[in-house]
Amino acid sequence: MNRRQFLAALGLSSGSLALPSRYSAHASPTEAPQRFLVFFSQHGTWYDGWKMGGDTHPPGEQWEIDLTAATAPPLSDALLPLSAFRDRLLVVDGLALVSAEADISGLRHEVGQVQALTGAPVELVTGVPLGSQASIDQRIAQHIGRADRYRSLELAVGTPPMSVIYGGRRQQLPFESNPLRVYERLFGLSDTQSNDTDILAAAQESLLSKVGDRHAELAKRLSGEDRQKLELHRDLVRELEQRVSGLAGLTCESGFERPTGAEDYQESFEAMAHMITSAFSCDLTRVASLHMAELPIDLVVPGYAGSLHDELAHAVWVDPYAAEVMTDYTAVHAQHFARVLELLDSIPEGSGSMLDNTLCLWVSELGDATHGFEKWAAVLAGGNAFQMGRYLHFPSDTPYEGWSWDGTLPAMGRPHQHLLVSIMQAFGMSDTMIGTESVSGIDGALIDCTGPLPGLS
Amino acid sequence: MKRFLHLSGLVLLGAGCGSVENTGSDPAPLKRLTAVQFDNTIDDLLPELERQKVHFPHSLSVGGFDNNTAVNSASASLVEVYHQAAGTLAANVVEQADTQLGCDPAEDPFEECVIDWFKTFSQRAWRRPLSEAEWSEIESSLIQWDSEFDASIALQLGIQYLLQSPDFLYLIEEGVSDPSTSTERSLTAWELASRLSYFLWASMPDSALFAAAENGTLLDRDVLEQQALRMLEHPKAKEGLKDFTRQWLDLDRIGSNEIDFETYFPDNPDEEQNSDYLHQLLQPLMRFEPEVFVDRIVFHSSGTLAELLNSERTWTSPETAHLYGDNIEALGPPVEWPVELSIEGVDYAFDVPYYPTAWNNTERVGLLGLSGFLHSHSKPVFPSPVLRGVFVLEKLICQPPGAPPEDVPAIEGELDTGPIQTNRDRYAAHSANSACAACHDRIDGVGFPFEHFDSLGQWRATDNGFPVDASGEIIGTDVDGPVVDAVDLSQKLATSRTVHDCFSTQLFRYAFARAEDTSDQAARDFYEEGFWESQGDIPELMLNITTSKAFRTLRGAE
Repeated sequence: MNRRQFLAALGLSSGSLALPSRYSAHASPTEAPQRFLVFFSQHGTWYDGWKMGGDTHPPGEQWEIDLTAATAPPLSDALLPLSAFRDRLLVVDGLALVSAEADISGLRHEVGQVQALTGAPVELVTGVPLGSQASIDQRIAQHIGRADRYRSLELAVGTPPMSVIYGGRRQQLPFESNPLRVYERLFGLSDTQSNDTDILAAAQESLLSKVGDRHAELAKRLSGEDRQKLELHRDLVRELEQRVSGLAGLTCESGFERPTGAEDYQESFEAMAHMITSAFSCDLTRVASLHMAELPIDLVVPGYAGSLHDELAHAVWVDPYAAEVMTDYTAVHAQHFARVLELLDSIPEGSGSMLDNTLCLWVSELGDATHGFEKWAAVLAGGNAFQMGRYLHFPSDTPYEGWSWDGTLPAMGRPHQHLLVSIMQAFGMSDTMIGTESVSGIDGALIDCTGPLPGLS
Repeated sequence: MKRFLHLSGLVLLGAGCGSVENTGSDPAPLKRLTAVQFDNTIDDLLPELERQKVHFPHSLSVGGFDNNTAVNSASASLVEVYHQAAGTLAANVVEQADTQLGCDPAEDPFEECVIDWFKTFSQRAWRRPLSEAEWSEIESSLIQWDSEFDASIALQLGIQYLLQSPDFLYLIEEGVSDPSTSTERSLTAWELASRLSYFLWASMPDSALFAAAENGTLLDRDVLEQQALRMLEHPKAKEGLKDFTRQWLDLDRIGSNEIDFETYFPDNPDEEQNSDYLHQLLQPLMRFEPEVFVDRIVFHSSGTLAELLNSERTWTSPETAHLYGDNIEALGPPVEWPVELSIEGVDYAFDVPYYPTAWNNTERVGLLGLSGFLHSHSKPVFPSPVLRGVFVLEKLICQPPGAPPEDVPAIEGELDTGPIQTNRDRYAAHSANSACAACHDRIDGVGFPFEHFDSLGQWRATDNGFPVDASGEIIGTDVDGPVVDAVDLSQKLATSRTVHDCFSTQLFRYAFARAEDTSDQAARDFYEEGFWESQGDIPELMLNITTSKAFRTLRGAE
C-alpha cells in the first residue's frame, strides 16, 4: 500500500510503473547527492540556557569546546536532547543579525523573519514586509538541485506567521503545513484506473511545453512587472516540464503511513520529518526547509493556561520563570531537531548514513524572544564540509550599537551573513556574500558582511 | 428588488451631476485568479461537473485581501497545483462527457463532438474570443492528438492546456488607446466584463454579460450600470460579497483560537469531545455566521453600513444561539446557508440553517456582536482587548496602529500598577507607560468596550467576580469621545463619516485588487462622497465603483 508515484499524484497514473525503492540503492560517499536542510524555529532562544562554556571561557575571546572529548561538559539545558549527536554538531555561538538591527523596515519580528535566511533588507510592499533577495536554501537549490526533480520543498509544522523562504525579490514561497497535501504531492496514489494514463503521462511534457510557450508569448505583449510575472510563471512551467519527465520513472516510498490531514503539532512534525527523509533518500529533492510554528504551550508547560507569546516569550528578561520556560521551549525543538538527525542517520548511504551527506542548519528569526538580534543561536549538524563535534564561540566585537530589552549593547556578534556564506561555499558555490555587503556601524565604521566565518572547517 | 430600482434612480441622478467622469484611471497591475475565484470559475465554466475541490497553497495577502497584485507571483508549488487541477478536471470532463459535451468522443465524429464544443469552451475559458491564430493553434493540436492518440485524450489534453494557460489564470487587461488622451487606455468590453464579474461575483461572466461584451454595448455606461444592477440581484452576487466579507472581516481567523477547555467547558473532562465540539461544530458555525449576517443585511435589508454595525437582529444556528443567551428565539424560518468544510482531510459541503433572531440589544448589536469576531480576537482563557481594538482600528477606522516604538515585552511580567482583579486590569500598564500609551490609548479605547464578552463571545456582567468596566474611548475619528460599552461603540461608529470612508477604502482595495495610492484620490473622494450621501448604501457603492471612470480605464504608458 505504500508504493506511491509522482504521476499518480497528478491524477494521471494507475501506479503500475512501480519500480524498486531507492532505499536500497547504495552510492559511494562521493557520488551521494549533497543535501541541505533548514530547520527554522520561532522566538530565538534564552541565551543563558543555550550557551556553553560557563565561567571558564571568557566571552570576550574566541574559543571552542571539543564536544567529542572524554572530558567534554554536557550540552546546555536547551541543547541537551541533541546529546546523542554531539559528535555531528557544530554549535556556533556569537553571531548576530546585525543587518536586521540596521533595517528599519517594519517590526523587528518581521524584519528577523526576512533577514535570517536572506541576509538582505526588507522590502515593504504596501505595508507588507517581504524579502528583497533569495534565501540561502533557494540559492543552494539553484546550485545543487536537479532541474528534473523538486528543486526544494518548503514545509511547515503548525501555522507560522509568515514564510521565511524567498525565491527572489518579493517572491515569498508558500509553505505547506498539511502533511496530507505533502504526502499526496510526493507520494500520492490516485484512484484513477483509466488505461489512458500512461499515454497521458507521456504527453504531459509536450503539453507543458505548449503551456510554457503560451506564457512566453503573452509575456512579450506586457511590460514591467506584469511581464516579469508571466516570465516567472513561464520558467516555473518549464521546470515542471522537466520534473514531470524526471519523476516519471521514479518510485519512492514514503516509509510512513498516509497522513489524515488532521495531525496535531507533534504528529505533523513526525510526518514531515519522515517525508523529508524519504524525499532525500529517493533524491526527489536535495533541499528542504521545515518551518516550526510557535510551539503549543502544552508541549512546553503542560496545563499552562496563559499565552506563550505574550506572557512568557516576551518576559524572558524580567521573569526568571519565563526564561526557564523559554529554555525548555528550545529544548523541545532540540528534540525535534534530534529526531530529524536520527531519521537521516537511519538511512545507510555509502559507508555511513545519509546524515553524512546532509548539512542541517537550525536557526530562528531572532536572537532572544524579546525581539533581540544579538546572540543569534545557530546549530549545524551532519554533512561533510565542516569539522563537527565542536562548540564554537565568537566574541561580540562588531562595532554596532544593538538594541536589547536589557539595555543598549555597545557591540554585537559577528554578522550572520558570514555563516550563510560559509554554508554556500561548503556546497561548492563561489559566492562571497549574501544579501548585504556591509553595514555602517558606530562612528561610521564599515562592518564587512562578506566572506565566510573562520574556523568552521 | 424594489430597492434596486430605487437605487438605480439615485445613481443616475449622481451621474447627472457630472462628477463621474473625472475620477482618474487604474494602473491595473496583472491580476491572477485567487483560490476562490479559480474555484468559482470552474463551477461556472463546467456547470454540473462532479469534481473534487482544488486545494491551493497558502497565498499572501495585503491588508487582508489575497487578490492583491503586489504579492501574486506564482511559485513552483502553485504551478504544480494548476497542473494537477487541470489534469483532474479534464479527466472529470472526459468521464462525464455525456453530460458535459452532450456526446461521446469515442463514438461520435470528432469535429462535431469535440472541436465544436471546444470552440465555445475555449472562448468561455479565456473569457474573450480567440484570435484566428490562437484558435487554429488549438484546433490543430486537438486534431493532432486525436490522430496520435484518440478523441478522449485529445479532449483531456486540450482542456489541460486551456486551464493552465495564462489567458485563463490571469486577468489580462491591455485596453485600447483612447484618442482623447495619451495617458489613458479604455478597457475592452471583454476585459470590462471580466473585471465586473470578478468584482461582483468573484467568478467569470455569464452569457448575458458576455453578450453585452460581444456586441460592445457594455462600453456604454448605462448598459454597464444595467448589467451591474442585474448582477447584484443575481444569486451569484452572494459569492462576491462572501469573498469580500471573508477577507474584510478576517473570517478565516475563526478557528485559530485553541480555547481553554477547563475554563469554558468545565463540565466535560473529555478533551477529545470538547475539541471535536469546538473545531468541528462551534467554530465552523461561528465562521459562516458573519457571511449570512452581511448577506442578509446588504442584499435583503437596508443594505447600509449602519445596519451592519447596529443591527439588533442576527441569523444564528441553534448551536451558536446558546452563546447569545438562553432566551434567544427564532423570529422566522431559517436561511439555508451552503458551507464547505474540510474536516480531517475530507471535504464536506452542506447547508446550515441560520435562524433570524433578535439580540438583547442592551448587550450587543451589529457585526461586532457576532461570536466569531469576539472569539477569534481572544486568547484561550482571556479575551483580548488589544486584538479586538486593533481589529476595529484596521478594519473599520482604517487607522492600523503603527509599530511599537521599541518592541516591548508583554505587560504581564512587569505589572505593578495594582492588583489584577479583572482582565482589564491586566492591560492597565499600557496607559501607565507613556511609550505604550501613545498607541494603546487608541487601541484599548476601542478594545475595552468588548470586556463584557468572554473568549467564546458570551456576555458576562462580571469578570472574575468583579463588575465589568467596558468603558472606552474613540480617538481619531469624527465621532471621538467616551463610550460606555460595545453597543455604544457600535452605534457611534455607525454614524461616523470616518468609518464610512474606511469601508469605501476596503471595497476599493478589493475591487481594484491593490492598495490605494495618491493618484487614486479623486476616485476615492468620489466613492466616499457618494457612499456618505447614500447613507452608507453598500450596493450603491458597488454600483458607483463599477460605473466609475477608474473602473473602466487603464493608466497608459506615462
